[in-house]
Amino acid sequence: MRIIDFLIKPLRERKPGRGLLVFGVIVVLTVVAMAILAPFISPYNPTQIGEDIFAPPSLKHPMGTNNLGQDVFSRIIWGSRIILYVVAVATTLSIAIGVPLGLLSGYYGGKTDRTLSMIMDSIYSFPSLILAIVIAVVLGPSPINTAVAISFVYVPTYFRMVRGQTLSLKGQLFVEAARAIGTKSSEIMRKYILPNVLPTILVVFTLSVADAILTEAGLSFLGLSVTPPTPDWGYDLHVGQPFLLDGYWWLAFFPGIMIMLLAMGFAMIGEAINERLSLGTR
Amino acid sequence: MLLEVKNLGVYYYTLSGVVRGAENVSFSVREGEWITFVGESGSGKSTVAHAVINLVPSPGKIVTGEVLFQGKNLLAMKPEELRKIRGKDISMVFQDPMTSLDPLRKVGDQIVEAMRVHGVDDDEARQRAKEILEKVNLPADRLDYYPHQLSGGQRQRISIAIAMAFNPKLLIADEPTTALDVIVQDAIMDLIDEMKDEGTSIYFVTHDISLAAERSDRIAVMYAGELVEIGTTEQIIENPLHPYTRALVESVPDLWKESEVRAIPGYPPDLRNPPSGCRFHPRCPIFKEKAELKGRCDVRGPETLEVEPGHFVACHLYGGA
Amino acid sequence: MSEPLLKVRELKKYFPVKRSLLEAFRKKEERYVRAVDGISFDIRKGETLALIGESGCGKTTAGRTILRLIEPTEGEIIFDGTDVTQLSQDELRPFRKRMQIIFQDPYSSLSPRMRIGDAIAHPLLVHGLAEKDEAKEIALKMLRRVGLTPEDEFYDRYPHHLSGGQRQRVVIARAMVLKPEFIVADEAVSMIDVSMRASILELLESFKEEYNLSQLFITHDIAVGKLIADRIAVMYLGKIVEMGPIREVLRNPAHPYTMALIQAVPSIVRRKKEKKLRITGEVPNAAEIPPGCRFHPRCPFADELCRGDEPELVEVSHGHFVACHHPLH
Repeated sequence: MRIIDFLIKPLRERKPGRGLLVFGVIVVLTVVAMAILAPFISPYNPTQIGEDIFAPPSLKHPMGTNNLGQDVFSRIIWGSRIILYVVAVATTLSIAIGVPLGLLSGYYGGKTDRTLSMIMDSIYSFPSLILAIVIAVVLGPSPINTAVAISFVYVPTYFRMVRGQTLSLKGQLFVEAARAIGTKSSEIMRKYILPNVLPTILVVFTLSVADAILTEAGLSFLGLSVTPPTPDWGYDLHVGQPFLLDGYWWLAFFPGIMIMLLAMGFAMIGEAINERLSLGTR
Repeated sequence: MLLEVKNLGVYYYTLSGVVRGAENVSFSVREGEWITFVGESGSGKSTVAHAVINLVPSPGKIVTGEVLFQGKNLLAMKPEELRKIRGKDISMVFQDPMTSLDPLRKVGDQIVEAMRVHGVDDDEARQRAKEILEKVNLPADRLDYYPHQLSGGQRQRISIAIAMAFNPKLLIADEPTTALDVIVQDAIMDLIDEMKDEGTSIYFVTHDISLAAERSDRIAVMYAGELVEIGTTEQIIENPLHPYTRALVESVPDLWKESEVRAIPGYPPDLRNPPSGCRFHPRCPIFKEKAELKGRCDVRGPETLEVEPGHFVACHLYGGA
Repeated sequence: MSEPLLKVRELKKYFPVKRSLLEAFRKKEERYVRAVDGISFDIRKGETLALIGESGCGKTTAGRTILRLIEPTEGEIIFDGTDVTQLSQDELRPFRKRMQIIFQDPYSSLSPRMRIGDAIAHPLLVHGLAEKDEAKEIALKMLRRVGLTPEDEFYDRYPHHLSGGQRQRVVIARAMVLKPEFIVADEAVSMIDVSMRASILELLESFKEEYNLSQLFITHDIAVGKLIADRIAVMYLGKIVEMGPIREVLRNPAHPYTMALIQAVPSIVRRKKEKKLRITGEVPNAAEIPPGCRFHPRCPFADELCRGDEPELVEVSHGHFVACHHPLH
């Protein structure tokens, strides 16, 4: 409830970053709506091969058709499902692993903390796309495996952020006060530290979602995510790219612009929340 | 008159609204006197001290008034002219000397730099730096220290040393001892006293009325952005006129006073939306008691009146109907 | 005279100083900051002891160590007959209910994301003293009791909506909701605006009377101490240098440091000319405590004896103790 309020309120308030936020929220909500309503709004079956190949955008095919005569618009609409699904599973996984580990590590410190930090830092120091590629190759192409690969890359991001915040919150008087009233450690973490880390998790979440979208698109561009003919933005971008030179720009253009818009949408929400938070501390 | 402030007003334009930091503030500082501004946080005492030298921190803006220093309006001066006065004729000391000292440079270099700005050559500046360090009771080797190697008290001595460098006509000291322990505070106050003995006027700002009473010639009391009472130390301490001043004097614990301490009810107002009329009326015990004050204190702001020679107060209780 | 509620005996807290790599190689001995270096005192039921000292004297560490928010290095803390230093954190939990702390900084002692009503109700839930609804009822009553009305409106607010004075009332309510027997008040009013200090002190005083509280009131401000304490203990560099009934100590300080401290306090009725015993310098670093009497480098009366021998705390008059080779009377 409070989280929702936290998200809605800034939309109404005239404060810096409102434009960013409004833009981001509109883009993200549109894509989400596309994914949910796909069966109803998609004019064609996205995998239906047709005779009308390389048709330019027209009223009949708003985004044209591709080399197999599939309607690009329909593929864009259905493709949003895959990308959102993969990204949602991936971020849920990385939050579910990264946040508790960060809390424990930061709160208790000691050997566990040092070991965990070392592991996380070494994952973090790899280039994320290459790491994701390696894992995806090992696991084999499927959306859920892609999600696992991506989540693996983002666990350290959450872990490091939560651990750092926990470390500094642990030294705050209100945590000491909680100890003074006899609160158990597990409860201190849950009731006193976690709520104070949440806003930052939200920022990292939106920013890393933006990043994860690009990673997902990258993986499927390389053919490591879905198997054809499943509609997928990254894969479609890959398929359409050779035809750019022949003048069939719409094949690659629409998937590409969608990937960019969605990533930007999340990034802007993240920026806006971040700005709001740093305002609050001033 | 060394410094005359007329109808000064400072607003802070924050995201959550306009904070009326100080309004209608008029007073003067005489040659060689020690005047202390007393008030709690948010009373505007610090805002006024900064406005006097045209150094209101952003998002603050001076919206009305003039500040005459030896007859010249500081607020209308070109930055270049003002710079020549700051640090030479008017020196400043702040609560946290760490913010006014550069953490990356040795304190000696900073003192020399302060003098160089005003045209003293390096060798002479070095020599003078040693002398003033002695004056503030610090060993000369401290010149080679970095600020973080010194204690809070020693840093404050350094910033006073810098302030002393030119025998300024006016020293503005904004809560210079608030972060310090009493014994060190006392020593710093002694230093400022010495400056006064050498002819510098002291414009002191503090939240501690005892500290004000101990050394000042005159005291000005601020509440919620307004100057409510000004007079000699005796007048303010022994015969406070404004109900706020009276409450303030009665509320501080004192080692040498046997009378009971009385709390002031309520909280200071939000200056984005100050109370109508007299800003103290929601907390004023006399307003609560006397029915006839209704419709006056809560409606109209009081005029400032000279009730006895040199003793001014802004309160509806004085000056008849 | 009743048996003391709290007995502190030879309490020590040393913090190790981090050695540099070079020092560690040279096997240089580990050094310690002797923040609290053997202090002993009693607090009786319903009594307030003011622990006075300058910053860095160890008074705050002492307060936290007594509540075992910091683990003591050595010494006994006997609370109502039980040595709490010997208890595990679990065994300690019932005692937490009986001893509470109020911190100096009301801004960081409340969680920014917890409604203040919940902050007050939480201790009751932790100790299983009430169910959720009942805890809320009690918290509402407590809000009213500390003057934050209308209480149901305040219950739902977050700390950032409150002024410093109001926050400190919340902190006091949170500590008092458990009806503790002993309170450590660590500079409870020094960050509060002057106009509200007296009312916070009054609030503490009213709880003290209602619960017959024993208090360790830690402060740098002797004038505040005089107002609320029965006895005073003056700390310098980790040790108590003087202790006794507050009026007696203020009237007849026996330790030169106490004297200097008293004289440095500004007053609205006394001009500066009427002072003073001059002491020089500043409190040294607690990692380099001077040999002999710790105060000797700053003391105008120091002699050979003071430089070599550390004075014991001895009784100079009834209940008035001082640790000085040359007490002022």
